[in-house]
Amino acid sequence: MNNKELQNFIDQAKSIKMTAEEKSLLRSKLSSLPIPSPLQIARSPYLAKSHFWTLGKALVAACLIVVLGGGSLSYAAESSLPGQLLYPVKTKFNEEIATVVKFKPEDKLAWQEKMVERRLKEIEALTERNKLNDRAKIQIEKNLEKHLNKIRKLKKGSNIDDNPTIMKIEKAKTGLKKKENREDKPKQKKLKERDDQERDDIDDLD
Amino acid sequence: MNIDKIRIEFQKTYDEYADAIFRYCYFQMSDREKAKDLAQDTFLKFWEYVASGKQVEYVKSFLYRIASNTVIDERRKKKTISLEKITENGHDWADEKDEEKQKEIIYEGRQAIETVAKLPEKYRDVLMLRYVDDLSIKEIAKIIDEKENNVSVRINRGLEKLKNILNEGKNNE
Repeated sequence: MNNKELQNFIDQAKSIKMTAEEKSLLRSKLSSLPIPSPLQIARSPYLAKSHFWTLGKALVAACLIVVLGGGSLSYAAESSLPGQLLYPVKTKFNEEIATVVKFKPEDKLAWQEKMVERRLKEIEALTERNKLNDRAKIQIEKNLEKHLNKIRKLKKGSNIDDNPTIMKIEKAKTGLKKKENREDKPKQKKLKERDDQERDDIDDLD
Repeated sequence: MNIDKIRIEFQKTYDEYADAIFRYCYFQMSDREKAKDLAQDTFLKFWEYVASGKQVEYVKSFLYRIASNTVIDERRKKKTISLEKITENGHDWADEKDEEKQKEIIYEGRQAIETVAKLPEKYRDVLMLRYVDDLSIKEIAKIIDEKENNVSVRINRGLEKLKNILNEGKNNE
């Protein structure tokens, strides 16, 4: 083998790169990375090889959770429900970060499906506590719609009408609407009575 | 430096080194999708570091060092099926992507990947860092946390192995 062959090999190796699309997709993901919170202690990558560091990190994390009684804001937000103060932190921060770091389409899809499950559990929890108010319903519906659109986009080109997650979303949306109607019936009855009364009053004037 | 400036610097670094880091990961893992994930992890870790206000003196070496550790962690987690094995099992490269253009870009350098996959792991990074990424022995020693002498020996031995592999390929043609 001569140097020319080695040079050919090196040239070929150097030609390997991401496609422009892949590179720009990753760039846009990285451009929206959040600023690390002060609780996330930056570590030197020089330590990344050590098992001791991994163990140490787990211990520090465990201690922080115990000491701070539930950890950071985002940790606390994980158990929040629609209509509560920390709920936007859960959906717009925690879940968005998890979305940003999903790279493969199948991982993205699995995460969207998992988020749908989270929304359904939230509906159950709120119904049990009798706290499924209008604000909560709007938030859930909005999020379900968002997941639905993303799933449709990710499944573009394939028939998704019988997709179990899509069916669950549609069922949940219909369920929320029925609840609305049931709650609205007394209001509508009152409005009708008022209208009838007004009509009678107008008739009397004639 | 305020966070906006750090973000701009970070994006510049990404633009400059994204392909090199991806290529490094690809040569180590022989798996394109995995290489993209590892390149992403590398830049995520880099972001966490710089966004917390820490200064990096030699960005290039620092990035390769993160990438090297990320690859080591990944290998510990799961031993990736080597490209050789994939080919043996009848993996059809042409089935992977549909679009012609995409195919051209992705398969460019495939032969090089196949060649490197035949090299023992310990020679892959030193050879690629030295000849493809044009790093000095000193820089490589820092990145892989080895003595400069050991790096030189490894490069020489790796080069011999690489030549043998290339020769075998040539004889088989």
